[in-house]
Amino acid sequence: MTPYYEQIARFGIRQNLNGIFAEPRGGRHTDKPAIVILNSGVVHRIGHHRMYVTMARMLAAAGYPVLRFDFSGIGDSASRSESLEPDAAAMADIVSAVDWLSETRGIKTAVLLGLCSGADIALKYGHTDDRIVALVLLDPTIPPTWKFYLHYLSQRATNMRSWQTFLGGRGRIWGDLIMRMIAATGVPLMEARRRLVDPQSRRVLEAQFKHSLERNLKLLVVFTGGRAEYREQLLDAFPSLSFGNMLTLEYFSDCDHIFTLARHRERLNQLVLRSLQDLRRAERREAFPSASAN
Amino acid sequence: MIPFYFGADDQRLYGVYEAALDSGAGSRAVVLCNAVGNEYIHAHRTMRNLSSRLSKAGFHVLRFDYYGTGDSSGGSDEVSPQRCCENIKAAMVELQEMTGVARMSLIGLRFGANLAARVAARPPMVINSLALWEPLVDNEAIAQFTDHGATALAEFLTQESVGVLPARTLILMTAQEPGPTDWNAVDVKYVPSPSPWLDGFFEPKVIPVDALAYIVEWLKA
Repeated sequence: MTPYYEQIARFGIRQNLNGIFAEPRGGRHTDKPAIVILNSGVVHRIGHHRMYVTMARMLAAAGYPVLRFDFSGIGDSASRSESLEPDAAAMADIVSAVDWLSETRGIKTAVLLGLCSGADIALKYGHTDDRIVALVLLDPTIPPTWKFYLHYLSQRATNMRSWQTFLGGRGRIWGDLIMRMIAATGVPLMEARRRLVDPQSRRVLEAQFKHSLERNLKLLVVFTGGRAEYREQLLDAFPSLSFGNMLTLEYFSDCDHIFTLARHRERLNQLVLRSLQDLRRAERREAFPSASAN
Repeated sequence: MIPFYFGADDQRLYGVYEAALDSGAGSRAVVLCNAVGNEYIHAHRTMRNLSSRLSKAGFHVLRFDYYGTGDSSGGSDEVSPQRCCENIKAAMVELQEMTGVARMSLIGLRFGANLAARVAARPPMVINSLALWEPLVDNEAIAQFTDHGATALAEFLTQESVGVLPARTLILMTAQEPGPTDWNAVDVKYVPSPSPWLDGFFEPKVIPVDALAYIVEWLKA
C-alpha cells in the first residue's frame, strides 16, 4: 500500500475544474500548507515527463497534501462560462482551488508551484491572497540583463555559426535590440517578447516581486540552463529589490526547460521538500519563539 | 464528463467517462486507447476533443490512462505492452458495466493503436469497429516506447493481425500517405491533418479536426 492516497477533486463554477488531490494516508494534515501545482501552458496537470505526478506522490508520502489541477479550458477542466482573459481566468481558478482546500480539507495555507507561465501566474497571484505562504517558481519570466547578454555572447563567441548569425543581423541580441527600439516608439509588441524587454512589463514583474516580499512570501526560484544564462540573473534584473533570506535561488545549469532527465526531476523534488520543511521550521519558530531560543 | 478511478485498489486506473448525448445513433460505446510517453501528453487535448465529438454523436466514451502513465497508479518504469492490453480490456469491461452497452469499439492513437489491434485480435474480446490512427509500423519507432517484444508487435500489426482483426477495421494515416507496408484487406484512409502527438503541438487552437470528423463519421456508418 502506498503511503499516500489520491482522489479526484472537482470544484469551481458548476464543478468545471478537475484535479488530483494527494494526501498522506492516516488522517488529515491541516496544520501543513498544501502545495498547489499549476499548469504550464496547455500541458495538463501531469506535467512534462509526468513530473508533477511523481512530485505530488513524493510530497504526499512525506506528509504534505498536494493539489494539481487544470485551469479552465485545459486538460480535463471545462471552460468558464463567463469571458475572462486567460490570466484573469487562471487567477479565479486558483481562488477556487484554495477555497476547495480550505472548505473541504480544512487546510489553511498553501504554496503555489509553477513552471514557466505557471510560475508567472503564481507570482501574479501569490501576494493577493493571505492564505499563500510561499511560491516555488521554476523558470519564471525574467528580463535579460547586460550580464545576460555578455554571458550569452561569451558562450557563443567560439561558434562560427553564431558569428554568422550575429553579423547577418539575426539572432537573439539583434532581436532584443530591435524590440527595445520598437518599444521606445510606443508600437505594441508581440506578447512573448514584450514581457522580456518592454520597460512596462519589467516594472510589472518588479512590482509583483516587491509585493510578494512585502507579504513575506518565501520564494524558491529555480532556473534551468534551458532558460536563464546565469544563476543571479533575477538579482541583477531587479537591483532595487532586497530579497534577503526570503529568497532561495537555485540554478540547474545542465537541465533543460522541461526537466527531461529523471535525475533533474529527482533533484527538484528533494529541493521542494527541503524548502517545505524549512518553511515549517520557520513557522514553528514564529509561533513558539521562546522554544526555538532554548 | 465524469472523471473516476477504476480497477483494483493497488492498481487504480484514471478514466474519464462521457455519456452519449444523442441516443439517435443507437447504444454504442467506444474506448479510446492513448498514445504513450510525450506523445500522450501532446495529444491529450485532441483525445479529449475526440471524446467530446463522439459523445455528441451518440457514443458512450471512456478514455483512460494505462497503469504507470498519466494519473493512473504506478511508476513510469512499470509500463509494459502486456499490462496496457490488460488495462484496455479492463476499461472495456468497466464501460460495459457502466452503460450496459454490448457493442464496443476501440480507437487507438500511435502506440495505442498497436495495443488496440492486439486486444481486438484476441478472443474473447468482441470488437465491432477498430480505428487505428497512425499506428507505429517500424520497429525503431516502437522501440522508443518499449523494450518488450517490440519486433513482435510491429510484425503482428503489419502481418499476422490482418485476417484476425475485426471486419470493420480502419487504419487512418494523417502524417504521411500509406507507404509500401502491405496492409492486405484492411481499410486504409489518408486524411492529411496536423499531428497532435508531436512536440510543439501546444498552439491552443490547433486540433486535427478533419481527422477527428472522419473517425466519428466512419464509426457512425
